[in-house]
Parts: sequence; structure tokens; C-alpha cells
Amino acid sequence: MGGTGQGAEAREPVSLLHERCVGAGQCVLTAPAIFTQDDAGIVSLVQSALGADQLAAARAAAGFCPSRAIRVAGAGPG
Amino acid sequence: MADKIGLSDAVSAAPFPQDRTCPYQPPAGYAPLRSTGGPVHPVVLYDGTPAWVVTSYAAARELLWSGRLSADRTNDAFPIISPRMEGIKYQPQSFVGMDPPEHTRHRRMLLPEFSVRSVDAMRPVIGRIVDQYIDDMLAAGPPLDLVTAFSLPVPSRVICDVLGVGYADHDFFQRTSQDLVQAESPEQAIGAVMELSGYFEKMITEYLERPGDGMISRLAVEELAAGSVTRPELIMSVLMLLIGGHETTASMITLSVIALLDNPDQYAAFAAGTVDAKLAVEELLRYLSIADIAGTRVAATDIELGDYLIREDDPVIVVNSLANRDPETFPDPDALDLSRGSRAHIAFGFGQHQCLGQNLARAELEIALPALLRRLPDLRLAIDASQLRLRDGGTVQGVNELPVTWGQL
Repeated sequence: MGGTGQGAEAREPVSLLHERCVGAGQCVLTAPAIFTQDDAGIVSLVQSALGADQLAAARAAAGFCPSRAIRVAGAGPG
Repeated sequence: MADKIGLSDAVSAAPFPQDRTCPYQPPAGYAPLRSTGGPVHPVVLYDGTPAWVVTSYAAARELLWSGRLSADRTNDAFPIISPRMEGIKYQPQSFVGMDPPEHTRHRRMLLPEFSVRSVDAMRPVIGRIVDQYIDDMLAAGPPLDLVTAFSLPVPSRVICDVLGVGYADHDFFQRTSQDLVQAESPEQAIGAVMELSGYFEKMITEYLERPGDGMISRLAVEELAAGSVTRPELIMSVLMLLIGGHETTASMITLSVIALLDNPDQYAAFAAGTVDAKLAVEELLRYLSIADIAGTRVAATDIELGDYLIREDDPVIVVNSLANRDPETFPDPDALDLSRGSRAHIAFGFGQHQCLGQNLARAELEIALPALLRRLPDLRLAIDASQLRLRDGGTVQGVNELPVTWGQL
């Protein structure tokens, strides 16, 4: 699991702004190998170490996120 | 900013909303709203209030997530789209009519049952419900009304399951939901709210005494008892879930059938399973845009957009059939192409308020539509399409009756 704390997560390729998450599940639909929803319905990471091919999937998921709660290194809106 | 066009500078403003003349096509009067290049166009509401309509997909998405629009229905500037909504403004608001942080707090209580995982766990149940209603239709034989025999009871039964509401009361729910969504007067809408509120009030009390299955029991026992939500707030949340779970998915099923019948090659591909059901459902969501008034908002601040200036407190309306048919995003947008890959549509809205039940709706449609097309061979309308009576432009788009027949031609 990717819940390694704020400081560590910020250095990972994918970081989550949990406070923005509205539980729409769009990230899970787009990239289920990377994103999941916890029991409360809030986004969490299945894994934080991503291959190059997965980075593209993570970016796509960030684009689908309605509340812009996903940041991907080197891309994605704030 | 002086050279920007504001709402008061508008020389021509189209009336909004307008009624569809084809059940699955946007009103003809919406196309000209796009012709000025956008991304917004002034319109006039039924009560004379000027408002902005967002005409481009990119601007719609950007505005809906930006935090620059407010959904606060208690704001005096919040627009009233149709006469039936006149009284609703003064009712307690559900999370749909709130801004963060209140909206976030209320919405988060409701997330667990609607996560992708929770919905996936429900798919076998949905499959059984769908099969049962198709069995019943086959047993009854054609012709029959697809809305009352299938489109409405399937999502009704599913949301009753989720909420933990006895399906014995589904007639009551269907009637009151319809009264609310399609009320012909403010009094009728408020009457429906009162009836439903009274029903849920009683149910919450019962669940507090004897916890049971489903979401209402969970919310009563975990959230109401802990003081994290008041009873009127909880009632409004539950009411919103019930309405949202009923009319929208029902309309999607019904209008999907009508649109597919007019596109026989797409119908055949869907029925034969040569197009993925998930892809097909996303395209139908985009194409039909049944919740056409996707976002009714008020500008929370001045917003400059191209040549236009949206001033604070200006009403702003995101129209799905404009955004989802923006040729910049969806080439040849008026063609129904089930394999298009259209999940970027905003049929469920965008931003903080994006539909809470969207994954449940997807699951229902992905299961119900292929089963219907597969098991009712040569499905067709039992009346001429010109006889269909369409709902008015200010509500969930659809028809209240769809006589169909099937079998030997």
C-alpha cells in the first residue's frame, strides 16, 4: 500500500490530495492496478512505485479525476 | 475588463431550457448557442432572469472543478430553472445544493456504498433483478410499456436494496420521485418532499431502535447517533439518493432503447456483444445526456472567459448536450458510435458534485441493456415514434411511457 505519509508520498511519482477526493472512483475505473478506494470510499494507492507504462495510466486517471485529487510527477494540473 | 461582454450587454438571449423534439437529440435551439464561438452564451430563464450557458466541453470541465462556481441553493442569486423548483429553494438543502466544506462533509458519509468495489460486489444482485424483470416481460408477452415493466423497476429495486428500504413500498417511491422530478407546480414538488421526508423520518427512528441492513441503517446508527449529521440533513441526503437512483437510470435505459432502434447497426453490434458493454454505455451516456442541465451554479467570483465577463452572482448553467457534443472533443458528435471511447463525457457532471451514484448507474446499464437486447429479439416500438410524449426541457430527459413489442415481425 502507498500510505507512506505526506512527506514520503510527495516524492513518489504519484501523490494524492486526499482532502480533495470526492470518491467518484474515476481513478479506479481508469487504472485499477494503481488506484483503489478504501473502505470509506476515499482514494488510496495500490502501489506507489510505477513503471513507465503505468505512469501514462496514472496521468490518464489524474485527468479523469473530477476534483483534481491526483498529482503525477512531471504532468497534471494542480 | 471594460471591453468584455457581460450579461447586461447581451443583445440576443435565447430562452432556456428548451424542449427536445427528438427524445435523444438536443433541442434545435441549442445549436445556435454554440455558433458564436463561446465558450459561454447568454440565455433567459422562464422567469426573465438572465443567465450564462456554457457551450464548450473544455470550459464546462474547467469551471465545474475550479471552485469559482457555487452550488449554494440558498444564495438569492441561485437561478430557478423551472416553476416546479420555486418552492424547493426554501426547503432544507441536500449536499447537492451545498459548497465545501459542508458539501464535502455530507458527501463523504455517503461514499462507501458507491465505491467501485462496493458496486462490483452488487453486480450479481443487479443481474438477478434484471433477469427477473425480463422473465416477467417474456411471461406477460408483448406489447407492454417498457418504462413500467423494466426501465423504472430495475433501478428502483437496486437503490431500495442499497438504502435498505423495503421494496414493498416501491410504488410509493416511484410515484413520489416522479412527482418531485416532474412536478407541475411548486406545491406538488414540496408535497412530494414532505411525503418522502415523513416516510424516512419514521424509518430512521425504527433503524435507531433496531439496526438492520443497508445504508439508511448505517447512517442512522453511525452518523446520526454520533451527532455528525442532523436528522433533517440525513433525510435530505437519503431523499436525494432515492431520487437520483430512480429517474436517471430509468431514463437512460428507455432512451438507449429508442436511440438504438434508430441506429440498427449499433443495436446489432451491442446485442451480438461485438462491442464492449462498458464502451457502449459510456457512449450512450454521452449521446443521450439525459440530465441535460448538468450543473446549475452561481459565479462565486468574477470570471473572464474569452470575450466574456461572468460577474460574481451571475447564474451559470452547464448543459450536457452542448458539452458532450462539442466537436472539439468528440469528432462527429451527433453520430452514435458505441465503440468511440467516450468516457471523458460529463454526463455525470464534473468537479466536487460529480454524480455519487455513477458507478452504480454504470453497472446497472452495463447489465440491463445487453440482457434486454439479447433476450427480447426484434424489439421494436409498438407505436409510431412521433406519438412519444417527451418530458419538458427543465427535468430529466425522457418519456414516461414506451410501448414496445418483440418477437416475429
